[in-house]
Amino acid sequence: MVQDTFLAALRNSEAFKGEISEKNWLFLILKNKIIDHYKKKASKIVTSLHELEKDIEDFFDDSGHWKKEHGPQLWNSDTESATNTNDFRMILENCLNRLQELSRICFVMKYLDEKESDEICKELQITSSNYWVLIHRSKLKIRNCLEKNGMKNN
Amino acid sequence: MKFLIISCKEATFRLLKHEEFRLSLFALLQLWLHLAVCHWCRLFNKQNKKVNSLLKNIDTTVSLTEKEKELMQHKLKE
Repeated sequence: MVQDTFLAALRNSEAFKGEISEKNWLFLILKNKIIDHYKKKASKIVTSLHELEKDIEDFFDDSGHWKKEHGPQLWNSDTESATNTNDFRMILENCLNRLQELSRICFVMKYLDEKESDEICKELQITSSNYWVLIHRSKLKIRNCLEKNGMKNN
Repeated sequence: MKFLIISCKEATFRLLKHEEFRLSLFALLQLWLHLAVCHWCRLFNKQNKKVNSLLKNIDTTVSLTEKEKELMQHKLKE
């Protein structure tokens, strides 16, 4: 973000009239950049929460039962031994990239950083019920994605 | 008897929560009954456990590879 600030300053250097010191001017730009950043983040979170329910509908029908095409399929029984951690890691990374930002952050914090759920909620400033919806959704998606990318019984 | 029935959506949700919290006895009973009749959720439960153990074994402290470092430097130059 600091780099962005300098770039923006360079681009707009004609607009700088010398009414305030250079230092203050740079800080002003930085401040605006930070505000923009968090505004963007916040609006993303709001929309993502709306999309949550819709996303879960991919897996379940109206009555909450698995849709046939998205239900769990049998996995190869020897995946346990065959999945060396490097392969699994590559697949997982791919799958994680397909998740929405907020779900991905929750998933990584809970399962990879092994943080406590309370802590995650606090850090991300989300309610625990929203948090669990996010975890639920990301787990469903990750499971589905892993299945499609190598865990399935051929 | 209807009060004993929960959906698959609810059952998978409870399975995940159960990793961390104690469910009430009644909630557990509903979940247990659901798993007894639903092979999909049983499968989900099994696979979820497998995924969890795989996730645990991942070493999260990796450094960047040389290629990634180069890429980063390249991007910085731009």
